[in-house]
Amino acid sequence: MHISEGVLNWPVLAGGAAIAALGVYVGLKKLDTARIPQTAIMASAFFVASLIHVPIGPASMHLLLNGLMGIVLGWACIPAILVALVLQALLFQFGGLTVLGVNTIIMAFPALACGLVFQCFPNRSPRQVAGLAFILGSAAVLGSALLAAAALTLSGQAFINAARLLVLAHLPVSGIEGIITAVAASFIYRIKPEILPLRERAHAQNI
Amino acid sequence: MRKIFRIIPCAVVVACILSQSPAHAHRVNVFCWVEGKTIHCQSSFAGGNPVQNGELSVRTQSGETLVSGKTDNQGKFSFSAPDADQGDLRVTVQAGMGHKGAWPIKSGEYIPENGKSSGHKTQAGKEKPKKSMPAEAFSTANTDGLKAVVQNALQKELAPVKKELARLRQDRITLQDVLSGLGYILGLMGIALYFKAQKS
Repeated sequence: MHISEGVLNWPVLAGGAAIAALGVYVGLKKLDTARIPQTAIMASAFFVASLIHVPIGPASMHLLLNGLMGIVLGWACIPAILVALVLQALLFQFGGLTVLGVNTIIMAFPALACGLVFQCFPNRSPRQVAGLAFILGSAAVLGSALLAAAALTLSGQAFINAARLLVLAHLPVSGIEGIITAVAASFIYRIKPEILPLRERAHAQNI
Repeated sequence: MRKIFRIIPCAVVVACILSQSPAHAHRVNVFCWVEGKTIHCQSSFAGGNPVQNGELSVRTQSGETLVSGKTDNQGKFSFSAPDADQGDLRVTVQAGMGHKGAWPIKSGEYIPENGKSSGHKTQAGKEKPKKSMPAEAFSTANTDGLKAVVQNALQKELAPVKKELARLRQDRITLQDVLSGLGYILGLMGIALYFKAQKS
């Protein structure tokens, strides 16, 4: 999922960086003090998850956990993903520093979309939370695959080829990711529901 | 205003870190080693799976493509080393889906000393029949042939060692990398909390 250095052309890189910067700015603005430790923990999880390889399918892919990040963090997932990507680029040589903006968009925007969808459905039973989290967790991975395909298309590769390859390669990961997201989200919902932005909204509405 | 003074040193430190780190990142691992007159390349994904049908190309520093081809089922590709000194070479593998890896080959690696090895080899071939005469084998005329024989044997013996060295030389993820990454995130969290606390 991390696009390497030297693959994309510079207008795509520059545009990606600008949009990502805007997203990070909004994310930081919306981040309140009480949620900073949680954001850091999710960033750590995302950082390490890239080392867990899923050896199914045509090429070995790794976990993303971006759906879970979006669900737990909401807008704050953009700066969290950026930080994790910087460290992955520096320490693991995944992706690259010039591609940071594009890679942030690829991973963070589907995550944000999932988070916003999740927040639209407050007051759900744990089972419904698990079901929704499964769908969102797997959709986030496929969304990232499609965005990566779009970035490659803008740099000259044929979209259909790139998209088919990327989506096919990520199908197994997307299923596993959905299960992990469902388990994690329903666990958090039962044990410590105030972590999910959803519950805060529900409370605010009740009061 | 005071905040700006705090941000500037931070930005300088970050810029220093970014400028020093090697920018060539590879998600796709490639390594090459020289065995005699052939250069072998092996490429794999970070998980260890070989890159099959990856587009491999060898370029000189001026950007001229010397060799290009596709990796086989085991992620391997071999080509004969250029006879003349072409300077430092760069092997890149495009694995599709935006994944790319590169490996540098120094000119000294593929050109044996003085670049005269081909001359040695032909001499060795010519003088082989004479080897039956032990007295002549140590004569000065034969030292060149002997040298070539030894060189050939050494190259054969050293090939696995060279391969292993190249494999070890490529970037790999260690526990230190993981722990330092987690440490950085915790540190950033501390900085963020500090600034938020200052504000309120």
